[in-house]
Amino acid sequence: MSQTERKIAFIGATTLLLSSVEYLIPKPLPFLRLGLANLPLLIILESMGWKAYLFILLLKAIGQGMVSGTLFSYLFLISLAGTLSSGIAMKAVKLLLKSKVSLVGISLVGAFVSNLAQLAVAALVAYGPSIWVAAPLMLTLGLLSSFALGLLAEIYVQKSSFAHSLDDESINFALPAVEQGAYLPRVAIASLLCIAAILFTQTLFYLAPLTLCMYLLQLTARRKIRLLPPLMLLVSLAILSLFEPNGKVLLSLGSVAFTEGSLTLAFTKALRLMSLLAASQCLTASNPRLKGKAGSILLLDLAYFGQLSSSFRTTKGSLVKRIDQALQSAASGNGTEQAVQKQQKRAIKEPLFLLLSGCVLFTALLSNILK
Amino acid sequence: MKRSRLSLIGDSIILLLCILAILAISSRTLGGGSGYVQVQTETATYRYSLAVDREIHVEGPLGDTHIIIEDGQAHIHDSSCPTKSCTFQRPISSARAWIACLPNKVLLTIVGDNTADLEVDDVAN
Repeated sequence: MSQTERKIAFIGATTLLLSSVEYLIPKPLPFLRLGLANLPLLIILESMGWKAYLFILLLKAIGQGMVSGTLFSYLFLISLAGTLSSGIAMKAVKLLLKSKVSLVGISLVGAFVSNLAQLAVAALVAYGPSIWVAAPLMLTLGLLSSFALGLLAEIYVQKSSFAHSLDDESINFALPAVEQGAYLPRVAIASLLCIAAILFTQTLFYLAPLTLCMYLLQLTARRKIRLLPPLMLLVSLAILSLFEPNGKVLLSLGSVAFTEGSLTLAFTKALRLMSLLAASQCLTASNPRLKGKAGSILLLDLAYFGQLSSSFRTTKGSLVKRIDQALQSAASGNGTEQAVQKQQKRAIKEPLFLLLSGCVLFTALLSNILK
Repeated sequence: MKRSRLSLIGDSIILLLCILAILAISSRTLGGGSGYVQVQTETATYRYSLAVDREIHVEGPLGDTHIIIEDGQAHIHDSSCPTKSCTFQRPISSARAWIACLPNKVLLTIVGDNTADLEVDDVAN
């Protein structure tokens, strides 16, 4: 694998490291994002050609989807739209304005375009047009955080030696040991069938047990269950339902009211999206493969990420110091053995997995027969 | 830092454009709510968005009242009351407008801050 390809994979992996670091930083509001993962993109904006740059954008979106397990869900579409549109916009603005704009201005453009694209796709695939009421708040917060991020990037580019050595290609990227779990075709096929079943299941009455089954399935697939995201999805959809009243008034709050029809619709939507997310986790757990050069770069990307995060976890000190340390040791190829040892996972109990997916299919069938 | 002084202009213009765009989007999403119709019957209250076309059936003491929402307006299409005078009322869409069917005890009102497109006619109504 050539040095350029290694560099692409390495930069992709740093975006993954930074998005997991972002989880560790406490935030006053749950949906306030710093967008740390965009820092590497800002830093390499000028030095990378279009082809390599676009590839890094794809690696960032797909890698995040693989690590968080959302690759086969609506969340991936939302994040892909944000990453691609803002990435292209940032590079285009830099090419147009050249030295008339700093990384602060570019970061502002990136956040604005990204939020706009994410809202548009979120309205299309998950939330419906009422999500646009969140636009003013999201865009304003995005403006603030991207301003801070732009400043950070500008300072980093001016001071760091690592950023400059990325430019003049003086770094030799070591090849980490690439290893991947075995592909599990039965798990993949069962997960795909479950996705179809979720889409065809009709009422709240059947979707509730189906969602429970899907979470059990996710546990069987040895993927961690997070409670906060589905809870936020449920609450935000319930709040959005206030703007589209439909049916009997259950609870009136001044000029807005929770209505039976729109709440049912909101919960149906939330349960379906939660189930789809669980299905995406299962499908990710089946270790699907990408063929060809792109696939091997993606694998390298994930291998670098494994190294980065394991050396990030083992070093002590301030956040910046730990990130710097991780970058140095992963690029030079130290700490490979640790990463490999950590990757050992317990195997999926396939019979149980297939049994549970059978339950999901049965529930979906039942909901369509007993309408 | 020569570089940052030159880029200050570009950055400021971008910041200004972003703020203007946010203001424009805010005024559209927060100001222009399409409002909704509230239907009160003897036993319950219902609310429906005016943005979605639909047909609604509610029960009064005399029987069924058939309400239609289309093109952002609501009217009573049919009613089981004897005079059917409520079906001749003009469709309503803006704040403070209402249609009542007294015999069947059904009241339609527009709720929400839809005063922006309040017309002289509506007030006289």
